[in-house]
Amino acid sequence: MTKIAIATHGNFAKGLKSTLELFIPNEPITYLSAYVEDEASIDDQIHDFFDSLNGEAAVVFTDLFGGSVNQKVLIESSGKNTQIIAGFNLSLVLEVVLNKEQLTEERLEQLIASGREAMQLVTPINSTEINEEEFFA
Amino acid sequence: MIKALRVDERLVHGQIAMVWSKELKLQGLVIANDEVANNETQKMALQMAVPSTVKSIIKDVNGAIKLLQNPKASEMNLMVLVKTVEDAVKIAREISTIEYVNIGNAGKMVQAEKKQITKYVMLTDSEITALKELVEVYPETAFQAVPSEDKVLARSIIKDQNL
Repeated sequence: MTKIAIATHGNFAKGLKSTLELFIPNEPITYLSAYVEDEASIDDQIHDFFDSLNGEAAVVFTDLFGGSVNQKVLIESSGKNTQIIAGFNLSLVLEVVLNKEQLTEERLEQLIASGREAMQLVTPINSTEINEEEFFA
Repeated sequence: MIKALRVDERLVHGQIAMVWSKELKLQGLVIANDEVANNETQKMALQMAVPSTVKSIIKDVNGAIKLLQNPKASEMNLMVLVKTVEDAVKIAREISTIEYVNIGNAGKMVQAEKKQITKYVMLTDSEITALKELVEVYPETAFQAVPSEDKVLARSIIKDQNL
């Protein structure tokens, strides 16, 4: 099974953990927080995660493309069966974790597209009511 | 078929749109609530939350019962959402083909004396009475916020907590 990690600057990952508990409790996700006091260094956290893979595939979400966390993950993932997704949002993390198909590059691109679509300007919509006939059509 | 009747005071929201709709391969959501059925703003906000792959219809509770009695309801993967256990009982009494009666989120927004039953469910005395009625109609009624959580049977909760 693909292992999943979420790596962020500061406690964003931990906050996300509390959010994800409402949607997907009991999922074995690894949370990595960089530059937080009382935590192991981000290098150690990343290293430990990749060590724990034992050859299994991994998807790592990072908060910022080009940021130091993303760079460190990229370097450490060298030679490992890993896909890195930068700039995640909640919707995308849920889509990936709940995905039941094989996480190929193509599949991840689809999920990322759908995660992008979820980020949108919210404006009132016209109530589009359908009647019973249309509902069952 | 009616995959689930769920008590959820938030009606359509993240857990429904992202998690349950996938788990149950939903094709339709039936939202049954007397107040919402007559409030255009609330209707709009709820419709916004429905995934694009799922149809939705908002009815008052009696209207929803009529809709669910349509034989075509058995040809579609449906989830019925109500805000209260009382409304769930009304539907459960009339509709005998529900695969799973589920208590999700309830009571957080209710301003009245209530009892904490689980992390996500608080019930007033009248809602507890309704829960007992619901268990009589559907003995397998269970508490479960999201699919990856274990189901806890309502009848065990009633017994264990002396409700």
